Amino acid sequence: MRAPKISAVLLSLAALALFSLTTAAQPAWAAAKKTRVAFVLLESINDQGWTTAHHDGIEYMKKSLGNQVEVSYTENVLSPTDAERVIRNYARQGYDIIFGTTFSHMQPMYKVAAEFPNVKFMNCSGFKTRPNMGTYMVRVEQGEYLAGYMAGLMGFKDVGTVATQPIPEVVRGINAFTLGLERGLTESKTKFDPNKVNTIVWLKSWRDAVNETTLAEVLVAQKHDLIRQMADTSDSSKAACLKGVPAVGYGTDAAKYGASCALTSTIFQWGPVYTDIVKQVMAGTWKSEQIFSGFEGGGVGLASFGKAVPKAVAAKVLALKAKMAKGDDMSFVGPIVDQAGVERVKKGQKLPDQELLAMRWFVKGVFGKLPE
Amino acid sequence: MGFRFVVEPWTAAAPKRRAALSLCTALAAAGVLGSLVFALAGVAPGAAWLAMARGALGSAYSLSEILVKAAPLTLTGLAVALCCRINLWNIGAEGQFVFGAIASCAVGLFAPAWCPPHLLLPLALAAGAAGGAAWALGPALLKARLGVSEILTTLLLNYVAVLFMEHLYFGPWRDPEGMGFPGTAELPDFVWLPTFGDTRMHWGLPLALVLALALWWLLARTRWGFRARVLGESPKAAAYAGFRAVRITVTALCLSGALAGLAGAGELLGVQHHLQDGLATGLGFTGIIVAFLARLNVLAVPFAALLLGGMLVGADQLQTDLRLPGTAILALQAALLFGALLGEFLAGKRVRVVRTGKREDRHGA
Repeated sequence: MRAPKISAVLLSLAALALFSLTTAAQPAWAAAKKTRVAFVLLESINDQGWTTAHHDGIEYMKKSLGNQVEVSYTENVLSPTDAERVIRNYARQGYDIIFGTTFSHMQPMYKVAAEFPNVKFMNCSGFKTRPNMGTYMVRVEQGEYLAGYMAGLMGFKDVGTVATQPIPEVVRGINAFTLGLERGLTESKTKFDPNKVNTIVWLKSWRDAVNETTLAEVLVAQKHDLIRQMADTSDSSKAACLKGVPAVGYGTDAAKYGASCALTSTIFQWGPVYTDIVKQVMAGTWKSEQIFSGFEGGGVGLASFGKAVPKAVAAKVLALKAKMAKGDDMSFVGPIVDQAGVERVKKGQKLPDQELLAMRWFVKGVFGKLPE
Repeated sequence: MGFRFVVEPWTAAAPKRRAALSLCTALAAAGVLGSLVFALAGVAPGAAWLAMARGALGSAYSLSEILVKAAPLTLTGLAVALCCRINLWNIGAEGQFVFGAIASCAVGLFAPAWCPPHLLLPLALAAGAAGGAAWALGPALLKARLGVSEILTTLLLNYVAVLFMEHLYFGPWRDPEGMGFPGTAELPDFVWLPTFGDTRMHWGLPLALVLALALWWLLARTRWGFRARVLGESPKAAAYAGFRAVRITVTALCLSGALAGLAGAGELLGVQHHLQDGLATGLGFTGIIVAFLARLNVLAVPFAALLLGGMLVGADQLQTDLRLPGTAILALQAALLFGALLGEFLAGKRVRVVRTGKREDRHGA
């Protein structure tokens, strides 16, 4: 007589459990379908550079949107062959929006986007679009201009830059830094060589553990007074610190990764960009566009100033930053003259975005060539 | 009185038994080490292997993607295996892969207008093979004429090849319509390798399989193959027999380079269609694992390439389902290579337990 009793109890318990499960699941299911967001990342999330910045952005977006989103990402997608598979896999799994985080994800994404018209695609640092595929990038030049301005106000007039690859993002970063530097030097009434305030050496790589350090040391040995890091890691800044020369970091806060002498770092802040885009998808207002986010949209930032930066300088830089945040972008306002002395932007005019995105010339004051 | 283990050569073992033992050891070692990696990453190994299997074998699409990976891996695996069979170490498959891609890209970009389009694809493939062979020629001559270690020369030339390719697509070959970004223009579609149906599988795979058969025939059934094998086993015997060592060495390394070059051409013409960042991501190096997993048996190479391809495709799932870091697959590949080498070592040996108290052991018989 006991056996049936136990099984009955078990059965009713199971029924109860099942019932409670379904009722518990019902409201959540009915309330809101989570928006599914996927990211295809170039390197590992702890690369201390490009991909770390994107991962910080993902975390920021997750925090601000909470459980309305379901987020997945795939690291180390360097090869376009792999990128196509990873992107298509996410699309097949029904993700609502898929982000490619580098230029080399553009071609594969462009191909997959044609196959999945109901999935939205966004690619970082590219130019191909479809009705369901847009692009996004941050206005690196705004942060660069301010970092240069700060250095100029402090009287650094012979900067050495460890540049990475000669693509438009890097070129306009160098140009904006130089323009800001010249403005700062002029305001602080420092005499400088108009043809050589910022000397460029090329790493020809995004990161290179050996050469980042070597090139920084070479620039210090050539008596440059400030080292401008542009590589993914803070190694060139750290090398400068060890030699007693200040540095400016790039992409992420170099001081956070061991370069204590960094005066500041220009920072990519993908978080606000991602949050805005995903919110548009959730609201159904997303449309294909080419987003270009600066201080106004929160896409770029400046790391907190180092101890060596005087209060007065910091105040001036922050004042300019506040102006930019209100939409007054003076980073590429003419007159701007190139290395050969040709006027590229007339007085009072502003260089249009399309030209910024494809920039392949240096302003006067940059010392060094753009490799062809 | 105690015991100790003696590892001694075991020449009497039957080849089939050795092969089976070697393969089982390889897979078991990879399984154990891989599970350890998963456990250290805080994931139940069973769940991880299941996720990988689901990722690799879960759909017709994922199966087709394994074949996409297997095509270049078969060719680079053959490249490494061919050399190792005759005791040459081609660590330069990656560079030869890149040079093959560069050469076939040149055909796609710069073929004169008068050249009939249907000739361009075979021409581009031939250029790929020639490019790979050319990149192997330097190390081959240095090895054959001056005895310079081909391990070092082929390895170091990998980096030169990648730098040269970057120079091309950042510089003179950059797409003029590309907004200043690196990469060549898309190749015209008549040099694309045809694909099967809706998948990304392309003719590179059947080509690789035919070449595997051809290579087996060359090594096992031709006079050249016999001479090459003799040279590999015993250079003195080859010299005594009057075989021309220089010619055999150069031919073998160039042939190996041609196979790797074809892999690069296939990846370019079959999948990517641009010379761009991310073309060289280690398929040449993975070829070393493929070759050793296949125990240098060229007919087993395609199967080893399938296994590696399956691992690479399945590894996507480790990240998306279990949030393992993207580098986990590198640890798995290392475990597989280690297992393959361990298996090879053990298959040619046997382990005997010896009582250390015995007299003949103490004094030596």
